[in-house]
Amino acid sequence: MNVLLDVISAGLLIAGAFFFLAGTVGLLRFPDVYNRLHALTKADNLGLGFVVLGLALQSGSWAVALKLLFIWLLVLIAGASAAHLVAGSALRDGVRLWERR
Amino acid sequence: MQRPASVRNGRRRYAPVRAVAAFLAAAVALGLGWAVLSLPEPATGLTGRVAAEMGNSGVSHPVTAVLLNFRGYDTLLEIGVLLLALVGVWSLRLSPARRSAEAARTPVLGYLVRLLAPLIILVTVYLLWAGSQQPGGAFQAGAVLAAAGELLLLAGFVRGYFRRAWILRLALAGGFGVFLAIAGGLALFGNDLLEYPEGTAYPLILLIEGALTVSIGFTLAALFFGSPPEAVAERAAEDEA
Amino acid sequence: MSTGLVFDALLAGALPLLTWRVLAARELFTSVILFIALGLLVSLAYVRLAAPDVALAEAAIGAGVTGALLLDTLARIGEWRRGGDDDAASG
Repeated sequence: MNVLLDVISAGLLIAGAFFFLAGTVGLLRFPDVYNRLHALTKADNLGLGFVVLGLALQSGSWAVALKLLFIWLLVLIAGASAAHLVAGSALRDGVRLWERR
Repeated sequence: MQRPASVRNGRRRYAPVRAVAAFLAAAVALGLGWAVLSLPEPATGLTGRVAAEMGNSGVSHPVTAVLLNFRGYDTLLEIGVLLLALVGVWSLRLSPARRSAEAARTPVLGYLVRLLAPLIILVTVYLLWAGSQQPGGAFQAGAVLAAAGELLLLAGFVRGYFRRAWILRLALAGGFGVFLAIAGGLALFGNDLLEYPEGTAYPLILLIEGALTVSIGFTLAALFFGSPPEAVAERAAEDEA
Repeated sequence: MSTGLVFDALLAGALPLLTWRVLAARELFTSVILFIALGLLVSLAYVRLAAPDVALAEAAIGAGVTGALLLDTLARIGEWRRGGDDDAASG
């Protein structure tokens, strides 16, 4: 049972790492601020969710697992709000949306 | 914004100076690494002596015991330095930075801050309380409280000064004041400086840490805001005129 | 080669690299953002050195307060350069 738990945890952590990697690639390669915000916020939040799930399986107590879940919720809220504010600030500064040419 | 032209153009001219500086920095880093690696293997240090005295210290976390009991004098001076830094920043008499137009402000920031500020205060109290048994303590709790202060200032929920000025000054100086009063009081009544009497270590440490947390939070947030209350009042008067 | 050692080696390699990038960045804004990231890495280093108190303090103060302070300073410099206020000594 323990080995199965470890394998599932490892799989979830690797999935989380993959999403973080995808978010970072998006940050580096996407053409303008708004696209990068998309990539970063969505991929990173999902990646963090997987990591939290993997760690919660390893934690061994409901209290720690709930705390991890709460951390993920807070990051979700703060990350989405921050992305909204950055996008609003970029719009105000006149950054234009990228058009496919 | 770019670095100023003097810095950009100086790069070519001062290349030899920078090379020497880089070499010296690398030499220091390597020397430090060698010194750390050649320390004796079972770490001889003060860990054993601290562990032996933990029973007398009033708390069960060695870092807190060292910061607030065994080396309390250092912490007292650190708070003084923090207060001095704020006095230095205030002496510049910066005016408050102009906030962008009201129309640009979305309600999202307000919702976020309304959600986060109470949570941050909860975390502050928890860090302060847990500091006697686990990693935590006054500085960490104070820094987290300063984050709450910064959020409130950025979202416009507080103005950067209190109508009754003494509240702000009390919050800023209270930590240092309480610590100094306890230290001085102990010295007056026959103990050495900061030698807590038998059995009173824990309540005194808690009292000092509480005052320190509030002070550190307000001081760091005031450092972030930058403008002394007089400058904020000036700007408010200007804007109305 | 334990995973701890690999992680420590990566961290020890990333710190000087990131420091160099902070100092060599073309824009001051980039420097400040990279400085915040550096604060996070230093906090991780403190955790690996078994000093969780210092790591907490570094994360909160080094990345949080100092980062916000530097960003605010950048904004004031920009405003000062654009000839913002008429106040003599302030900006």
